[in-house]
Amino acid sequence: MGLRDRIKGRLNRLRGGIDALKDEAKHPGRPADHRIAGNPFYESEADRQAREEASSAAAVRTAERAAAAPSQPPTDPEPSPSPVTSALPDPNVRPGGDATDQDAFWFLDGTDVDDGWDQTNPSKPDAEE
Amino acid sequence: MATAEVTSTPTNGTRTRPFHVVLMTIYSVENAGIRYVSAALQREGIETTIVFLRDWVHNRLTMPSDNEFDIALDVIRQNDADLVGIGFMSSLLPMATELNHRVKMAFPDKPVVWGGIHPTSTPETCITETDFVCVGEGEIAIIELCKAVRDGEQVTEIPNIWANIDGEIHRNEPRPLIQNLDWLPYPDTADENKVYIEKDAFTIEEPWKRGAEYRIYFSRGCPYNCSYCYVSILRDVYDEKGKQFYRARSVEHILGELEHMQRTFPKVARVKIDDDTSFAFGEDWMEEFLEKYPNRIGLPFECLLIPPMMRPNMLIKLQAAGLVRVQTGIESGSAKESKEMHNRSPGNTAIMKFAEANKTMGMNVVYDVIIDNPHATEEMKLETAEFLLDLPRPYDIYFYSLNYFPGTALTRQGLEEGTLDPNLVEGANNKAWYQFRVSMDWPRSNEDKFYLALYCLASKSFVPRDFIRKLIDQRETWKKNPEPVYYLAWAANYAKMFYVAMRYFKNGELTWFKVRQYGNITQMISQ
Repeated sequence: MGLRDRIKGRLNRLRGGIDALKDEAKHPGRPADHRIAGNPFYESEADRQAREEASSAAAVRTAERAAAAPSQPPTDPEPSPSPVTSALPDPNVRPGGDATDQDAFWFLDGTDVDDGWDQTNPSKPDAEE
Repeated sequence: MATAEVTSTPTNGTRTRPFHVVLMTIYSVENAGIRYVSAALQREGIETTIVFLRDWVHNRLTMPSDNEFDIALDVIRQNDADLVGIGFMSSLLPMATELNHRVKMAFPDKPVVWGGIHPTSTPETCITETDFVCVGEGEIAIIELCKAVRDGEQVTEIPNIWANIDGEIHRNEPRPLIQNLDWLPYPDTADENKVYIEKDAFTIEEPWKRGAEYRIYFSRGCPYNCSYCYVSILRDVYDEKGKQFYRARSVEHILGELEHMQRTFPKVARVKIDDDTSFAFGEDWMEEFLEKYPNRIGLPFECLLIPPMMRPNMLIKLQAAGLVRVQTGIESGSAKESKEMHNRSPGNTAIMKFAEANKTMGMNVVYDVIIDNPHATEEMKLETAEFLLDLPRPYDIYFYSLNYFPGTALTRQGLEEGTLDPNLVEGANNKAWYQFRVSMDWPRSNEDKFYLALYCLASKSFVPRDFIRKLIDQRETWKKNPEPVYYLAWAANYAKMFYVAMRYFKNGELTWFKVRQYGNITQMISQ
């Protein structure tokens, strides 16, 4: 590759970087947490490593699937390791009694809270008791 | 539509393999609900495959290509699916309708069920498009629907499930909400039964693993009932049945899921507790969590907290347990807008004290702020700007552009009062395609441009507060011609991003590889 091509390539990459900067600057707030994968301004090194590993593992898995039996259905996954059906709790019985939402959530009473800041929540502030 | 028989055709006598359900979702790889439904079906011996049709990074939501739709149809064909589920949000209605149409064209005899927040909010219109609609919590309802289809039993009287049998609509009330969330399985996050479709190709993978963050839900529901939120839809759907709307899983059930995650997500570095409200639980629950989480999981975590109930002592304990970042909703700095429009308890005093406590602790904080409310007065916008200016820096903001989703209290009220154009409701409208993440170039009034600029500047530590206050003092001038302030805010965003890039460079992380990898912005959609 000649010097000219290398300079051209670097300029193109630089332009790409500037495009990314411009696009990100257009958005005034943070991206949502689950949207930071692939975003150079918010993705951490750990995110980058996870993404690269997931991508390469996915590529291998997909190629293996295609090579093994393209017309066959995929392998069934291991079911999620949750308690067996017979050991499940009754979904209709609320643990801890039948208090209503409103009983527990004193902070929704419509007033701004200025006291009780030396207490450990979620106990109710003295003023409210 | 479904077969003319009221009962479905039995398949159990002829099948030599388990019943198979293909679940599909569009532009929603983060969809937790579909993974819960999948796991619940698997626990009953029903096979599942989940198709993730595209993901998005910014505001680039376009109709999937013919080729991508065909890949999705191939998944149904290869698995010889017995039932197809489509889950989607309101803004994606046109895409879901197109997908549904293509599925029915290719497989006219395969029943299709729609689920998710849009079908829950507008079942009357959705049921005319498809065979079944699941309203509300779907895990138990879908199990019953699958068993009924498999066994040739009645499909018209299943709670939560609306059925369209040759144009005759059967409406069924939802069953009560699941009260003991420990009944739920852990969400299905296996790789083998996930098909992720993007750029006319597919991969077999669980896309959640493409990041170092694991998102988990400790609870369902929310103590609040904000008028713009999907929670107001669900509270309306469940009415008295939803009296105990906010429900928490046990600490052991949560830790079990996280331990499973640590075995199956090799690169996870942090946990995001993605409840709309975290830790509004009892004292015993909190003590148990704070004692067990650091020893058994030990990963840093982030969550959303409610300032009016969160006290420094508890923040300190949470920080010691691994809390590194906090998100909290301001939405508006105006008590009137909060109370009368958003149906939220005014909380500026508590938020300020919460912010000061976080500052003292060195906690990373991000605040939610809603903009583009056409009914907000200038006084409300001004109060928000002044409140953001008073908050201790540094902090980040998640901006949300107000969307009118069908069925929310805000939308219902606007339609009833005639103050909201029905064409602005998502589904008919698709604003969220362009403003899922707020962008500066969305058309706004001069006044809204000016205040968005102020909000942006207020959160930038390097912009002097006195300067912003001067802009506020001269607001009558700037509102008429906001461009200089608006572009200044835009420039401040550039400066911040440039600073981030330089920090990467200084740390040796901004390599040519990285620039090249991210340089082509279209590649950021899926990597």
